[in-house]
Amino acid sequence: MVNASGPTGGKIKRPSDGKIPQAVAFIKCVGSRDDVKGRSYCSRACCMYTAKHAMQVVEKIPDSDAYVFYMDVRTAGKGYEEFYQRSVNAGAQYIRGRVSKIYPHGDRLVVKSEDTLLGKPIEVEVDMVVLATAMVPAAGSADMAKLVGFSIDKDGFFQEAHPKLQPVETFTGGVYLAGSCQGPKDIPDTVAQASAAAVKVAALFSKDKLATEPMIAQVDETKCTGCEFCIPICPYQAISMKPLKTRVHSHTVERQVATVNKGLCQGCGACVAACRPCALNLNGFTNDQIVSEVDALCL
Amino acid sequence: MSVETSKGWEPKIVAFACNWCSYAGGDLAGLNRLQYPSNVRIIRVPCSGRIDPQFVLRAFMMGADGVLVSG
Ligand SMILES: Cc1cc2nc3c(=O)[nH]c(=O)nc-3n(C[C@H](O)[C@H](O)[C@H](O)COP(=O)(O)OP(=O)(O)OC[C@H]3O[C@@H](n4cnc5c(N)ncnc54)[C@H](O)[C@@H]3O)c2cc1C
Ligand code: SF4
Repeated sequence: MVNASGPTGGKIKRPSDGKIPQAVAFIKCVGSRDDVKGRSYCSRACCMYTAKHAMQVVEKIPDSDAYVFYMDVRTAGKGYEEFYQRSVNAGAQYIRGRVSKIYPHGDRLVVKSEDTLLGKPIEVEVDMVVLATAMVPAAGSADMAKLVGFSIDKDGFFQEAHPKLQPVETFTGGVYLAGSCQGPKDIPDTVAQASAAAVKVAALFSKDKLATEPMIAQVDETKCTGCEFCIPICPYQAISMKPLKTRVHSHTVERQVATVNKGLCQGCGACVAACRPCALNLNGFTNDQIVSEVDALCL
Repeated sequence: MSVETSKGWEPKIVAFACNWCSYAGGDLAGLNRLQYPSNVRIIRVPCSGRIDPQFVLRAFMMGADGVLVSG
């Protein structure tokens, strides 16, 4: 709306009747940080964009009021606290309290809350209410994760391989994450993560050979019966079938056997435990090696 | 912490520990100088999915009193 090329040509107007609002209430943490609504996380960007929007209201509309209802003001970021203070100094009125009710009064809205700093109920009449709603994963993102073969976290965002040490990698080789698909974040964090992901990809392509972990699954093609049981078991979609020609009694027989993509296999060994003819084995953790360990430890 | 009976018998427990969680936890316990009972014998596996039921049966066959699968 405040964008000059936006639908209102840069003017802040009520979507309902196009009137310029004299008083605007902003409500933060709507649906975020609320176990009852099933979203315990903080959406991270809304404290700052609400500060920005409240400041834009008081600066762009003469004699207007901007009320911000909040639980906390989270300003972790370079220059963020200063930005929030600028919004307060510009005239945004911060009220600490959860809004209990909003009801119409004429063509205005009454916002009912408690001011927990003053310890008393408060009611303000405004022309427009702006909600800072929770950042949630896009519809269908879980299906996409399943299709590509990586996992989602408890809130439905894409799961990184390690929260501190591998924040842009997924558990699937060659798939990287950037932006709010991985968790709520603002533009600077998105740009940082996207740059990191781009560099990871560039590093992959800068070599003509790919170094992988040596502990990967291996197929004994003579034992593989081609049952395909291992294919849905592999969480990384590293197993596929390939044709194998063998000579049997002086003629050639073609059959399907499993083959492991060495770049995708992460060496979890789930397929090995599931392989009924014992055609699959995991380098470094073979059946024989583990059984020998069991034997040695039970002595 | 070890389980002991009046006769001093201790169960022999084989623990299959996932490299990424339980085994890492065991490692951390070691780094923090925490003791764990010596009758638990740990086998590192890359994932609890790697554990073939045959390994468990093998452990019992070879005289283990308990098997712990952790991951
Ligand atoms: C109201 C609001 C105000 C904000 N204001 C600020 C601010 O002032 N400053 C700030 O730093 N941050 C702000 N943010 C946060 C900022 O918008 C996000 O951090 C940023 O957009 C994240 O970028 P992204 O590329 O990860 O995701 P997005 O910008 O959401 O881009 C994802 C893209 O993927 C596309 N897409 C989705 N699914 C598919 C699919 N299956 N196939 C193909 N394409 C697909 C979508 O259409 C979209 O174009 C604000 C957020 C909101 C909600
Ligand atoms: S960023 Fe601020 S408004 Fe948004 S959920 Fe977190 S605390 Fe609430």
